[in-house]
Order: sequence, then C-alpha cells, then structure tokens
Amino acid sequence: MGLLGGEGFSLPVVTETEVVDVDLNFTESAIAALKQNMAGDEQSHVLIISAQSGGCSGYLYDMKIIEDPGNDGFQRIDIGGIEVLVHNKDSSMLSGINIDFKETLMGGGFQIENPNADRSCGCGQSFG
Amino acid sequence: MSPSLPKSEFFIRNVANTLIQGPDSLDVLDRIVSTKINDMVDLSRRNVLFCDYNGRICDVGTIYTITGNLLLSSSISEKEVTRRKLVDGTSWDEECEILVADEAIYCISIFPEDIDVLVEIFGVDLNDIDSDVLFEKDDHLFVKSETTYGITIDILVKFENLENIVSILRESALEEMDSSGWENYRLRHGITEMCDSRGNLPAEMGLSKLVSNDKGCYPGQEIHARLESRGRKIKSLCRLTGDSPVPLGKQNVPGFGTISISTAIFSNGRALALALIKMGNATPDLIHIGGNDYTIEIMGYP
Repeated sequence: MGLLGGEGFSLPVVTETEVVDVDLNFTESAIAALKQNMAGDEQSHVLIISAQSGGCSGYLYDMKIIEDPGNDGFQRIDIGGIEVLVHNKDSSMLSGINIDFKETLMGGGFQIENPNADRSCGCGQSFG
Repeated sequence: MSPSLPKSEFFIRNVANTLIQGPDSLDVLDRIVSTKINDMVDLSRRNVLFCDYNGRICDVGTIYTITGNLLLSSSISEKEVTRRKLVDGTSWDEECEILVADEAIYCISIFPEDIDVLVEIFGVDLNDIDSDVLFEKDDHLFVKSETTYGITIDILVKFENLENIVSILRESALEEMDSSGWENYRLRHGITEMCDSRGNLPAEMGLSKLVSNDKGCYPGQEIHARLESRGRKIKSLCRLTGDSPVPLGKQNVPGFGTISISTAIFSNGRALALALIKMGNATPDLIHIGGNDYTIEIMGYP
C-alpha cells in the first residue's frame, strides 16, 4: 500500500472566502488592446483575470484569453462587448481593479492597479 | 564538555504533515517557497523556507516527493497559516488538493552512532544511498542527511506502524529522546526551529542555502536579492555556552545592544542557548549577561 496508503488523512482542506460583486475598470487603451488580442473570437472566448500565490508580494495576477469555461463559479462582466470573467474565490481580491494598457518598449502591456492591495512589487505583477 | 550520550538515539518529530496532491502541486508550492523545488525528482527530499514579503521567515518545512504526491512537513505553530496559503494560492484552473496528514504520517529521526544500525534493525543499507534520496522498504521511507554534526536517518511511517517501529527501536537498544532531550540535542548542534527562526532573515539564521537566487519571484525575493547583493548581514544566530542559566527573551547587553535569546536550556550544570546577536566588525569570544560569562559561537547551516 505504501506510506500514503494508510488511514488518518483528512478530506481536502477548503477555506472560506468572501465573495463580492466584482467591478472592473478598463481604460480605453486597455479595451482596444483587449479587442485586438481577441481577434474576432469574442463569441467563443473570454478573458479570465485571476490571482494565484507567488510573486514578491504574495499574490500574482494572471490574465488568460480562453474558450468560455462555463459558469463554474465565475462572475461575468461585459467590457465593450467582451466577456471578462473573475472567479468567486478571487472576487474580494480583484474587485475594483483598474486595468490599463501601456505601449512601451520595456514593461509595456496590461497594467493593473489594485485598491485592495496593501503593497505591490516593482514589476507590478505581484500584490499582497 | 557535552553531556555523555548513549550510542544511538531517536526522536519522534513534532511536525505538521500536509499531503499535497494533483498535477499542479509542485508549481503551487514552488511559487510560495524561497527554495527552488521544481527540479525535484521523485523520491527525494528538500528543506524549504516560507517567507513574507519582507523576506522574513514565517515557516520552515521539508518537502518529500512521493510517487507524484508531495508531503510537506512544517512547523506545528504555523500549520494553519501555511495550509491556507496553499489553498488560497491555488488558481481556479489548477489541480492541487491539500490534505491534513498529522494523524496519518509520522517522522522518526534516528541519530546513529553507526549507520549500519539500520541494516541490523530494518535490513536497510543506506551507505550507498545519497543524502535526501528516499529509500522505500515495506511501507516506510528512509532518508539520510549528512550534516556538520553527523548522520541523521529519518523514517516516515504511517500511523498504523508507528507503535511497532518505536517498539523495534527500543528493543534494539536505541534510546528515545523526550522533548527536553531533543532541545538539548538540537542546541548542541545548532538546529533551529520556528521559535528561533520566526520573523528573522534566512541569512541571519545561517539558512541562506535555502534561498534560491535563481528561481525568480517568490514572497520576499526582492529583499533577499538586495541583501545578497549587499553581501553583509547585521545579525547572526549564535550559540551561547556557559555555566549559569541563560534568560530567555530580549536582553540589553553592554557592547552588543539588544540580543534576542530564543531557546535556552540548563542541564547538568551546563547552559546552552541560541541567540540572535548584532555583530560588529570583529566576532567576540565572550558575552556577559546578568553578571555571567557565555562563550559565543556563530552558527552556520548544520
């Protein structure tokens, strides 16, 4: 059976998370960049903004354009005809964020300012 | 003079065990710890640090890779916070389950006079097995560490087998350490626990080996990188030795300022303590606390 085949393990640990109604603020340049990245896939694809552990300050932002995963715990926000999804587990961390897009040769791309964050790291990709 | 010891001793570790399952487990854990672990192979072990955004230690742990799963042994005092970090830090699209294994798996540490004692007791020969490589026998995992103070063998056993293994060790004339025996042992050898490390920088604790400067971002990385580039530490973990009991806590010592004594024992007329001391340009040999003299020895990675 091996070491892990015995008794005494708990069920998977779950933690209680606060779920809030998500509000996102995109600048005009961020919406334009998002539309450009969607490349006509707005009907089948969505943008998912999420948070995960890591980075210098404790949490990292993640943005993905993927096929719509369905309503599995997500909140949907319409941004200029594009569906942006935030998972309920991330809602209290990400609600109210301001998303901008900057075109520079270094450090360009989507930039997130988070009013919920007590701190953020120099590169802007991590918060806590 | 160290107190005399029996030939071989063992101690049942007081640690929190967490089983981390799922294909994304290593990625989730790697993002949180200061130590590079994403290159770990199956059946291996690595010590890790959890730090806060200020680079200060908030938990210490050991990761075991066991057939696609991870077992994390970490401090009892911080187990809830560490487990919450793992659960909250898992992204919506990652598969990573956290299971409490405190009552499922136990770790027994053996401090043998001779490593061949394992051959006699369990039929396990670790002479040709590298340190930190797990060796499976029956339902137990054996792993060796070679440190500055000698060889330690850790055996991971499941709860159902704990009593039997402890009986076998006792019958084989190994002496079981109680918690005060363990405190004595670890202070003699400079082994830190969370009570010594909490809130301090890894370099101050002699734990710089557990900070991987080549792994990219993790909580505290900016601070560790800055400290590494400056190449200087202000404080050091020291062992104090003397003939009078050492008071715990912060002490104001002339010539040193405030020092923090995190662990102290007094046994057989001998005092041992671990303390965080602000170091000057020259390392002194003696420190005077409350009218008593104690020798100072800076501790490195064991």
